[in-house]
Amino acid sequence: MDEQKTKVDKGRRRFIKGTAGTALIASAGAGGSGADASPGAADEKKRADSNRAAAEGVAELLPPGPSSKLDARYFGSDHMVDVIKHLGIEYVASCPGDSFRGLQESITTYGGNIGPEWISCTHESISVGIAIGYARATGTRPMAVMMKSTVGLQNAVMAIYNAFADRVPILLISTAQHDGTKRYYWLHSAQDNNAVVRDSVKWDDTPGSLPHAVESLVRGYEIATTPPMGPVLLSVDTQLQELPVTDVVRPTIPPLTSVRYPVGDNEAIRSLAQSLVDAEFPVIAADRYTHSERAMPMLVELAELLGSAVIDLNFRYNFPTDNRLNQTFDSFVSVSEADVLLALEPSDLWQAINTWRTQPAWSTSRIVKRDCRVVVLGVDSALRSNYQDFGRYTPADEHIHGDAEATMPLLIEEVRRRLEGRDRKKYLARRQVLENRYEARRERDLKQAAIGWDSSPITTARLCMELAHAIRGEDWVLSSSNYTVSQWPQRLWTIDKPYQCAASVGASGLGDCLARAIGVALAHRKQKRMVVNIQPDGDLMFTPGALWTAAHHELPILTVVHNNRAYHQEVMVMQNIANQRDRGVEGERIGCTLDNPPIDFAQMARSMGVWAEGPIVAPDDLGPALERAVEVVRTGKPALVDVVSEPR
Amino acid sequence: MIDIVCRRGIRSSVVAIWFFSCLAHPAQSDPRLSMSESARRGEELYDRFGCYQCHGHFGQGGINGPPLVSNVLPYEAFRTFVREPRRQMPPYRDAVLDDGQLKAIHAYVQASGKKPVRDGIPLLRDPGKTR
Repeated sequence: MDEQKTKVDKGRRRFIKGTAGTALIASAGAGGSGADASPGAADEKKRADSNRAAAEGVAELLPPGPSSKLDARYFGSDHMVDVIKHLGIEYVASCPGDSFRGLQESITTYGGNIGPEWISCTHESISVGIAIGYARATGTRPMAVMMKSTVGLQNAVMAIYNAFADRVPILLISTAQHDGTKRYYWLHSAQDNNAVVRDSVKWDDTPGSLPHAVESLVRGYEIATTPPMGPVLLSVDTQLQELPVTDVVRPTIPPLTSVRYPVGDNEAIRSLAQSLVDAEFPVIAADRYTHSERAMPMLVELAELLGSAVIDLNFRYNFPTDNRLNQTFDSFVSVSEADVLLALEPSDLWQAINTWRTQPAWSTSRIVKRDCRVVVLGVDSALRSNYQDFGRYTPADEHIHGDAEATMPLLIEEVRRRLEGRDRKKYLARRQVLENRYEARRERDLKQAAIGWDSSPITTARLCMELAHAIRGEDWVLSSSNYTVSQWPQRLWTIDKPYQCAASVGASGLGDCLARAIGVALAHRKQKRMVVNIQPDGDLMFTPGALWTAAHHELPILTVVHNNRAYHQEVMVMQNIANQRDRGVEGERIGCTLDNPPIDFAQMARSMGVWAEGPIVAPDDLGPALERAVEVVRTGKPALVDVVSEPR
Repeated sequence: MIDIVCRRGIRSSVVAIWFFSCLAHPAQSDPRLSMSESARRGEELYDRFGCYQCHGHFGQGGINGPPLVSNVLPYEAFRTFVREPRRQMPPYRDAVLDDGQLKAIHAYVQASGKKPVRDGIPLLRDPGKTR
């Protein structure tokens, strides 16, 4: 078989050489008919030599075929796949690309397309979005993403920034073509391929040899998974991938270093514990705190010990929604009462303790009391200076440098020790206040949810509660942010399992919602969990190809399109600016709406092999449609329900 | 520039049409104009002026704006807030939304607030049971 392929290949190359030579002769003949009317024999030989050399040059430009590697059975990219297997990477999401053909072939053939398994994508930003979802669901485990040099990586730029802002580990692999004489497509080559995303990756490298590539894959994995986590990028030379490797020179794969996350200083933690125990009204504001399934129960334990309010900030769901100490939706009240505020891995401390208004003029004010002790526990700070994802500067009374989740056992122990023998009256009274507030807020929310219940467009409250009803009894994971549906899931659903919400906002770059759901579904594949994706319509229009990936890989994702037929955030923004200028309302929808013609998302989904229903307009049709969709998802396949709904 | 002029023109026309219609049916002061008519007109204006964008079509509120119908402000307080809002709401000054239109919108909000909210919705009876 190999011999036959080799013969075909040699024949193909001979054919191209011959064609090129003939073309050159013909070209020379045509061009030189006037100037070289009577060539001599010497000139003829010279010309033939010249043509042969030119033809060799053309052949050199061709992708090297297997004929040049007859003796090799193991190539650079095979070795790289062995490293990826050694790192335990389960999946690689990618579009196909010729500059990593070596790696692609090694993954699918040499590696048997298992550990890592190739996840077929239709856009590089989908590939990265999938990896974000996977990392959010696993907490600490990265998957790999491959992107062709220049164009592929350029497509992924926004999604990589989303990953960076989310502080999630991803092993990004792109390519390079160092040797210009071996390039056959200069348009897809760059002197420094990584430069385009250097500000939004934690580390990058362009290895110069196979041993270097091996070391950088292992080093990159370690850097990506050490808090503060983030994506890392390697651009691997195409020639290096295709290099034959013999056993003699096969580079050693270094073992993975065991990384212990940094724990906060003992003395500082003791002092913090004392402050929390002595406080009249301690508040815990948790942001990028959770890495693993241990995080939520530990935070519950600390809050229950102290009887303290807990507020979930934007980036993670750290605390059960049904725990009465959860004061996320009364955060203003809690923060303004705090005399000790502990911020766990805050992405933006300023926003946690200050507020701002645009009317009547731009102004800011501090919510937290002047004498409140503000303590930050976390490892994150400004990782890069270009992108301003770190927010406005505000001083804390103390910043304990340590991973908040890794430090939590020590903090709990110190708090517990200090509470022994103490009168619990103060804690119980405080707890009662918080429980009352929780109940009152919930009562308000339930009343609000009932307004417009039977009206069309369907309210976001009804959309979310019909969905909650449809997935009752299932083992589900919410993959999407619930901001656009007015946070009804966070307000009224019970989200109490540490794995149950993998949502976060990233950098709010559009087009990653369904991709994230795919990554979450891959992470929960073994447990066969149903992934629930409340999908904004505008976001889906950025990357509709993700529907095909979900169908192709048969992933149990229930997508409910929150179809308000607009980029509604921008509708509000335009209205705001027009009003401030007293220019009326005529222009605010131009460029922001998606209603003329309205998009048929169900038809779009069906065209890519996803079961779908919609558009659902009548509120009473929603529940039955969702039940039918859940039936489909139970079989391990994706389903979509398009719901024409209120803007927020 | 042309666009702005055009828009101002349209706005002037809308205001003029409304003004003459008010001469025929002066709002509020004319008992012949029932509240439901005013509220119906207010509903159209509520949509046209984008109140629904943050407060929802039924005044139910959302993440970007509080509910309007659960505790409807008296007209004067409503007017003051709309003209000179606090926090994030954009101002609706007289040049954009005149008092007559604002009264109609208030009538709509008031009428919506009086609509009975369905009681005993099964899905809201025990929303914690999502498993």
